[in-house]
Amino acid sequence: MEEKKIKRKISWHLYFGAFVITALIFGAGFYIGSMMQKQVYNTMGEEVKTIENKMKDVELLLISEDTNYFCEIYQNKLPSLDEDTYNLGQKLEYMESEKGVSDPKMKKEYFELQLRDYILMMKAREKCNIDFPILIYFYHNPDCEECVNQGYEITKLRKEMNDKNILLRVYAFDGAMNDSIVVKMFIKEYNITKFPSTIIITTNKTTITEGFHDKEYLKTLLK
Amino acid sequence: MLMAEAILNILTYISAFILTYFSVFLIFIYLERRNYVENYKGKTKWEPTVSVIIPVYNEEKEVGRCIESVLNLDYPKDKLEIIVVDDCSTDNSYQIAKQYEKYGVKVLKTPKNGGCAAKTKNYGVRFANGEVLAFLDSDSFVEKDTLKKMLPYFEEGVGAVTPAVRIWNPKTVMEQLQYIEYEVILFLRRVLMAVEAVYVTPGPFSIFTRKAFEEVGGYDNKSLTEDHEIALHIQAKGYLVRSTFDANVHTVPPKTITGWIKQRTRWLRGGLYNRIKHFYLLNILKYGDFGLLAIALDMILFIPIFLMIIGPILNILFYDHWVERLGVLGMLYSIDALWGVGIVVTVLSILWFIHIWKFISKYSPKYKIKWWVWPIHLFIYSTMWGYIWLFVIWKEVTRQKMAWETR
Repeated sequence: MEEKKIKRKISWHLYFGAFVITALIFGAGFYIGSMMQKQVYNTMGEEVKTIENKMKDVELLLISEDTNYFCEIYQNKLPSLDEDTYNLGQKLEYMESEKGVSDPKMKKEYFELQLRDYILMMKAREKCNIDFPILIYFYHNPDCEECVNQGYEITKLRKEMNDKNILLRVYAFDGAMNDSIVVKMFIKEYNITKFPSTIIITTNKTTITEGFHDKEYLKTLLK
Repeated sequence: MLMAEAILNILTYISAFILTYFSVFLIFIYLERRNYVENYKGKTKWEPTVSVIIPVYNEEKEVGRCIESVLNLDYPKDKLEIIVVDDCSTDNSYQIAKQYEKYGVKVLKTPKNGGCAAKTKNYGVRFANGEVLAFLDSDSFVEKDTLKKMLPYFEEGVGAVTPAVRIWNPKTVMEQLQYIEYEVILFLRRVLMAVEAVYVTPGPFSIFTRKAFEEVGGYDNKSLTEDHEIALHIQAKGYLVRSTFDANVHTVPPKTITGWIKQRTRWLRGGLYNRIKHFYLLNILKYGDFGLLAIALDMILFIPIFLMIIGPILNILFYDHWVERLGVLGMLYSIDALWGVGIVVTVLSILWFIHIWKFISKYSPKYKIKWWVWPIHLFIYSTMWGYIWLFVIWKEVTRQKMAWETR
């Protein structure tokens, strides 16, 4: 049989068409993904409100000066309040450092929430004769590599203490939030100049440490 | 860490785009030439003399079935020549083949073990007289009408025709995964045929015109995948390759994961050598879609493969503990734009897969496939390919030789 060699062609229209459709698929995907991310962020806004409401009840009792009732309610609500506040902080930190998504307004609200929680707790320590260690941690998003690891060590420490039924109150603040009065106040109070910095407050002493420290070291400061 | 994350992110987006683009491109070809892809069966009425060359090395269990299937081909006996070439097997393959001499089968033995299928096939061609040369791996076997269904594809300019290679009686998980894979490859080969870009002539029963075969000097003895090399080579010389969908050849795949890794490492190593050898095909103005698909797109696919290898390594090196900090459910917070792309692409891929399987199942042998093999194939098996490159790199760096293999 005769074999005639052929001249090949290139189907530009297919390459171009495929490019356009791929771009459209990506566009649709991006849109859907962004909407989902927004949805996730909105749920965090709701979480702030839920925590605020829980806190309000306790704050009202504090104003009413019914110390016994305040102490009872505070101690009842403390575990869930602590858990909710801490988890929300983790999520905010994650969204910002890993996903580059940040809502300064929500962060400020969160820091204010922490301040209210902190004040409430100090009052409870004073009025209710309860005592638990406090850890205040300053990170600096998004340019602090060590801060992420420090955060992890604190998570481990908090979990270990929880397992031993010791409540370690953790507060985390982003030192990069210069326009937050709350952050400024804490930085000024503890004279923070480097990140990460960790402050540990126990009954007897307050220790301020700079740089990364592992869980074991932090544990020694709690004694 | 931030740098590593940025690199990973960019690579992930590029990879997702490339993989999507490649898939969309194939769908485009299919949609434009659907009738051709699904129905074309060749038009030539040609009944040439055909030499079937069966290279054998230690296949005593399979070789008899292979020879018998060729003897049973529905084709004029005076136009069919069967040549079995034993590459100095250490088992009884040669003795078994000898039993078929009484049916007119020529049984040869290479002077010494050549160490590869290519040499054995080329040796057999020296004794072949057919206008068409067919090569059949001894672990495979043809159906009665296989040859008759292939010959009509030899139209003007066609130098080779490939059969429908199908997995025989898949039982183990690995076999079933490969069964699905082979069926999908068959379909994709038909799609590629629509733009004249078929770039493999599989070992089990691809057939060549003698002229095309001799023009490229036969199989490349140095290539570990001579069936890929010759497909590139004859097309570089201006011939076309056509693919059938119903001319069945049944083959036996590796049964275990170790065998699979060994086979795929050989395929990829061979493919690497062939692409370097025929790098000039990148001249797309001369070689058109074929050059672009056979060499360029294949090379672009290295980016996702590189990501698959480097991604987990970077994640381990710069592990950031977020899973522990947020908990598994908390990882829902990692949802971002790329998730959206992933969801859209996954949904479209599943729909596309269901659609093509409807067509595939019209021709595919009906085997009972375990239900959970399908998702494994879709989501895990395909990605396993990428990691085979680790073995390829290791074997290339240590310059390890590979022995005689067809499967």
